[in-house]
Amino acid sequence: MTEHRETFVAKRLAKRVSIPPHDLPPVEFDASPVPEGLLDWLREHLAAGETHYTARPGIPELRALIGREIGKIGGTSRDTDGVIITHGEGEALYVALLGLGLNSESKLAVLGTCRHGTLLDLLGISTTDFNGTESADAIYRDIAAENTERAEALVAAGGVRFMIVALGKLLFSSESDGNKLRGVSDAAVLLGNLDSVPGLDHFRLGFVAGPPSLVKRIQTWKQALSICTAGPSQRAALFAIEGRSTS
Amino acid sequence: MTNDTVKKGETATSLRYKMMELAANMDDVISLGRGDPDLDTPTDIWEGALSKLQDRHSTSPVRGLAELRNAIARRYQNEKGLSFDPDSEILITNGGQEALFLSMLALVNPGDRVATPDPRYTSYDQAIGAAGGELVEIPTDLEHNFVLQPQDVRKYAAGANVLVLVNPSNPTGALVNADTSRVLAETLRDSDTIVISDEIYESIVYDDEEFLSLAACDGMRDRTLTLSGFSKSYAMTGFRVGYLIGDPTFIAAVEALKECMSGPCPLFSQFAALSATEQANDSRAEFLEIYSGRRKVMMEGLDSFGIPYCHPGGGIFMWADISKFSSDAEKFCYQLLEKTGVLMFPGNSFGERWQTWVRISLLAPEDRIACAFDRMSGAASSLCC
Repeated sequence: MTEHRETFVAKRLAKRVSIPPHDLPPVEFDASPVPEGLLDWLREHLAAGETHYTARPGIPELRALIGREIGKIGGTSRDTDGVIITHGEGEALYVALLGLGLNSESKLAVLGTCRHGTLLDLLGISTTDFNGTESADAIYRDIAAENTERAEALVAAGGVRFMIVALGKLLFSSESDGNKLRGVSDAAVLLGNLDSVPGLDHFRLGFVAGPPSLVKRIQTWKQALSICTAGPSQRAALFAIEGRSTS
Repeated sequence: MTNDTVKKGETATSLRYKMMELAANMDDVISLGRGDPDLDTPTDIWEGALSKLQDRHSTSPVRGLAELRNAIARRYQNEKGLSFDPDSEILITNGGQEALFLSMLALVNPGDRVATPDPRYTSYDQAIGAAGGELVEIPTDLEHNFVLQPQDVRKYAAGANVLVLVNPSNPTGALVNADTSRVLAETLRDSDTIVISDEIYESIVYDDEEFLSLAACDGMRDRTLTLSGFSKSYAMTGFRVGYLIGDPTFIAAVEALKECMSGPCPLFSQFAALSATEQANDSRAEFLEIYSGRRKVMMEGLDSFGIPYCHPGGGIFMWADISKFSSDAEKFCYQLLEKTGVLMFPGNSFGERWQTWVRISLLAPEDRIACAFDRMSGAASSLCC
C-alpha cells in the first residue's frame, strides 16, 4: 500500500473527485486472442505511414461502417458526418454531454439501467429515474430499457431537448437484429462500444452517432479531450469487423 | 462549465482547423501550421509493438501497463535524477491532451483560477472551461523572448489554483532553461499554486541548452504535476500515448475519472511506447538533429524578410511578427495560403491579442521550408493587407 498523507496536492483536489485516497487494484483480465492476420494488416498500414493523427472524428471507412450498421439494426443510417470514433463508450457519453451543453446544473432522466453512474456522479450531473412525466434536460435511455414510448414522445414533442441512447456492446453483436433500434427517434444521440467484435479487447473503441448538426458540436469536445482516437485501434477495428462480416 | 473560457478556446481552435481543412483541398501545400510531426514513427517502435501484442493474453490496467510505467520511472531516474514510484505516481493517458483534460477535472472547482502564459495553446481552454475554471493569462513578450517572468507570475497568478506551463512553449518555441526554471521555482514554491508542467517537447531543446524538469527544482517535486508523452519526441501522434507523473492522491483521482471515462490506453499503443523506451538507437537524438536543421533554415528565411521572431529554444514551432505585411494575421494567413500554398496559423488562434503574429511549425523538410520562403518572396507585395 502506498502511504497517503495530506499532501500539498491532496489538499487541493477538486470536490468532484473527493474520493477517499485509495489504491485501486490493478485490473487486468484475460483477453480474446488477436485475430489471425490482424498483425500483418496493421504492419501493412503502419509501414504505409499511418502513424499520424487520423481524421479527427475517426477513420472515414470505420465511421461509414458504423453508420451503416446502425441502419441494419433498425436505426437511422448515418454517413461519416454522423459518427465519431471514441476511446470507449464512457468517453462517448462524456463528449456527448458536453457537446449537448449538459453540465452539473443539468438534469438527466434515466430510463433503464445506467452503466455510467460513476461518471455522472464524478461530473456532478444529477440523475432521476424516468417516470414519464417530469421535465428534464435530456433522457438517458439504456437500449435494454422497456416502455420507452413515453420518453420518445416527450422528446418528439420538445418537452425534453435530447435523447441519449446507450447501446453498450450491441453493435456488431450476434444478438442484434433488424429491429433492435426500431422506435428510437432519428434525433437521438447513440453511444456504444465495439467490445462485441472478437479480438478488439486490446483496442478500446467506442462511438457517438446522431444527427450531423449535433455530432459536429460533440466533435469539438472529442477534439478537446483527446484530439482523435488511436489510429492503430481504428485500423484494427476495420479488420476485425470486416473479417467478421466475411467469415 | 465556464462558457466564456470554452467559447474563446473553441473559436481559436476552430480557426486552425478551418485553415487545415482549406489546405487539405489544395494542391502542393507547404504545411507549416499543424503540430503533427511529418516524420513517421520509427519502424522498430511499431514492429516491437506488433511482437509484444502477439504474445499478450490479458488487457491493461487503467493506470497503464506496469512495464511501461516502470520504464518511464527508470528514464526519469536515469536522465533527470528524479525518483517516482511507478505504481502510485505514474499514469498512462490517451495522449497529452487527455492528460491535461483529466488533470483539470481533478484539480479545478468551478470559479477556480487557472493561469497560463499568453500566447497559449488554446486547445487547453476547453478543458479549463469544462472544469468550471477561469482562465488567467500571464503576458509574455518579445523583449524577454516570450519567457515567463517571475514578477509576472507573482502579479498575475496570485491566487490561482493551477499554473499550466508548456515548456518548451507551444506556440512560441520559447524555452525556460534550467537557470530560469530555478528562479521561477523560487517564486512558485512560496505560493499556493499547483503547477502542471507540460514537458511534451522536452526532448527537442536546441543549442545544447539545459532543460530542467520543474519537478527537479528545489521544493517543487510535491507541488508539480508533470505531463509528457511520446507523440512529439518519437513522432507517435497517431498512437495517442501520454502520461502524468505526480502526487499519488492526484494520480488516484485521475485514475478514477479515467476508469469510467476512457479506460486504459489501448494496449497496442502502450506497447509502441514501451518499444520506444527500449530502442537500441534512441530516435530522439536523430529527430533533434532534423529539427535543428529546419530551425536554422526557418530563422534564415525570417531574417531575410526582416521579420522579428521569438528565438526558438526548443519545440517544433516558431512565433513571428508579420506586422510589416499586415495588421491582421488571420487575413495574412488566408492570403498566404491562397496565393502561395503556404500554411501558417494566425496568432489570434493562440490568444486574442496576437493579431500580427503567426505560428510556424518546423514540420516540413528543409528544402520545403526554403521553398516556402521563395514562394513568399515572389508574392510579397500581394501579401500586404
